[in-house]
Amino acid sequence: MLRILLDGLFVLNQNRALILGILAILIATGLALTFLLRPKTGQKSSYNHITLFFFFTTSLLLRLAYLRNVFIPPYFDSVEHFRIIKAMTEGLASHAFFDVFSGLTENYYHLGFHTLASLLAFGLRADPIDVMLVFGQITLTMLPIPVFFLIWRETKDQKAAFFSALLAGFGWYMPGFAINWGKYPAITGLLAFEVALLLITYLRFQKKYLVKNIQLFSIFISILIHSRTLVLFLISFLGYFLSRKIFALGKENQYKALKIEFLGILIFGILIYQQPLLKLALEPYINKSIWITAIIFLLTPFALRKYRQAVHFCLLFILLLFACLFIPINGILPGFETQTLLDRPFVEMSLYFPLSVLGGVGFSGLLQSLKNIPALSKRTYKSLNFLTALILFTLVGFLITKDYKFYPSDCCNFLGYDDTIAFEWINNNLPANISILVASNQLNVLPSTNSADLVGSDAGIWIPQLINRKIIMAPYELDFLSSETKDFLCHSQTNYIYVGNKEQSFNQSTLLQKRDWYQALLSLPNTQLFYITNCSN
Amino acid sequence: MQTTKQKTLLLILGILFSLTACRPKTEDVKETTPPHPEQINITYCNISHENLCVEGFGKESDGKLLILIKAENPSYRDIYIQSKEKDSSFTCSQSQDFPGNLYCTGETFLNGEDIALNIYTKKDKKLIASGNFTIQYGDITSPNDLSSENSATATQEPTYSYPNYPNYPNYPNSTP
Repeated sequence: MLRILLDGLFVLNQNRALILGILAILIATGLALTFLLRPKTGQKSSYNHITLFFFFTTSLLLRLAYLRNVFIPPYFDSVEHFRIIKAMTEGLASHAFFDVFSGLTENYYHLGFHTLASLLAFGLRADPIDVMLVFGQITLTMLPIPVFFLIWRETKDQKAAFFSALLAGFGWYMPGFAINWGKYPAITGLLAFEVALLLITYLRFQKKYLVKNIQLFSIFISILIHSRTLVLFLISFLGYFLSRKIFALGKENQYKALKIEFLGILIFGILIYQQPLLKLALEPYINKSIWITAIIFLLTPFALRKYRQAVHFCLLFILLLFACLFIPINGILPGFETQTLLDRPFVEMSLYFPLSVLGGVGFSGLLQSLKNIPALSKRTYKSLNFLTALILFTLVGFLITKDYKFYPSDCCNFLGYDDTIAFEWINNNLPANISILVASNQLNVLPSTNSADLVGSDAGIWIPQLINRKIIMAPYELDFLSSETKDFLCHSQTNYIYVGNKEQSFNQSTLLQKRDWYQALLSLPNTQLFYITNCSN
Repeated sequence: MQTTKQKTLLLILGILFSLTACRPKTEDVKETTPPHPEQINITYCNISHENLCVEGFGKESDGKLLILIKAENPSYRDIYIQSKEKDSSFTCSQSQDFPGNLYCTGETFLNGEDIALNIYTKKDKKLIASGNFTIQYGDITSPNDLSSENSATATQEPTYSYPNYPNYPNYPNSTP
């Protein structure tokens, strides 16, 4: 753990100006909201600011350690994000920001995120790559904070609030792992969703015009950052509405509703688990971190004693999240006929939220139920309360330190050291008008989607953005031994083949077997570049 | 009339804005590089604790050796290398986007050959690092090396542990 914190400090020192700049903006926004919108209830905040600051700082260093040996944002999504942010930043610099929009793709739907990132890059005079990397880690660090305040408001118990924040930050490898997928807009969208929910929850009884507008504006911003957060808001409002209705029912009916909720989750859970592609949505919560999920469900009966509405809300949230994987958006959005309300990665990333809230109220419920133990003196209760909290924190802390990965996953960190050297070598030695064949894979996110689209599967995908050479994508399983492949390459006027170091890169050994067709131009330990020869034959 | 809280807020915002706005341009920061530390023994990056290390070796199609360097300290980036064995120098190029990553090109060296490297700064030709290495071209098999190997090795099937099946999802989870 110390090594991770030291790596975090190293990254903090290297990018201090950018990190402090982004933090300054975020803290200023937070302070402005706190001062402007503080409810006049006369309540004083009783949470420990120092502990919260310590939690945030430690989390930040742990998150920054991720960037210790990362050159570029991971996975194929990041290339497109980078392209748009870079174009927008250049648009801002040349006063042509709005012209940039005309060049964006038809199905473009992360306007808010890209605008925000380009404003940061422009305002802080930073490289868009650095902004994506640093802002992503800061966003991840911020994610548990609104959850902390939500639970603190609901329970007035700061131990429970910290417990839920710990779960939201590190309980499962999601949403943190989504950084490996380059899901920057989705993570930022989740943070915006949490903040909007916080504003709505804290200020729900305020009738001020300004407050209502700010609440609506926060929802609007969240949807702009990532359009699928609209579905999360709908789920939240429906969950809140239904949980209120259930709460107003008699006890017997409440338990019936509870059974229906659990049964619904179970049925949808089985349906999801039966589909190999959808099954992955549950993996972070039932695979490695099954014990943390189990602790939360063990705490649920205690939560039911004190926070019944919150429990119903969380269960309905989970149920509706699962259901959204099966609800098609036929006819609602042209161009997205094969998609459902939420896709698998988004559900997988969002499940931490209801589970963390459930864990927080369960924790508080358990501590409060200790009061009901008969013949317990105040002093004994306090000791027991402290001991119970300590056991739970230690248990969850142990599980987190045992399993959590703070560094990039091998799956998705496309660009390694050798790739940076290969790119520079290409830039220095090859003409600008060449075409390079790069490895790709078929896009598969939902079982219903067609796999016609190809997405890059190694560092080659970054070539157009970083060294301005044209690329042609081909499936990574391409058989370079076949004459059909050779003919295809010659007809497509591809000059070079880039072989990266990922599992889904081209197979180098097949290229080496056909030395009369493919000549190795550059051979690095983890990256090779081949030249296609004898095309006239 | 402004309340104390609003004034405090404005003050905090003002300070934060000043901190952000007064930040020097990145180019300005880059210009001020620290002075050269003392001469170091250079070794491979996976075992080195220095700011200058060798990532490995590569080669071009004509057999020319590429020495792959990582220089975290900006003062180590404007360099050239001399090899004692062939009394030749290697010119170094810095990656535009990742300035800490460099490659140096020079004479041809065979796999397994020993090389003693002296690294100098271009500006004042000061020796900043030296080290001895045995050329290892990593796991790759170059076309020339391939011809010397037996054909069984050359024609072996590619071994993929991943993906497990053709339609592997594009957002893979952490491997167990």
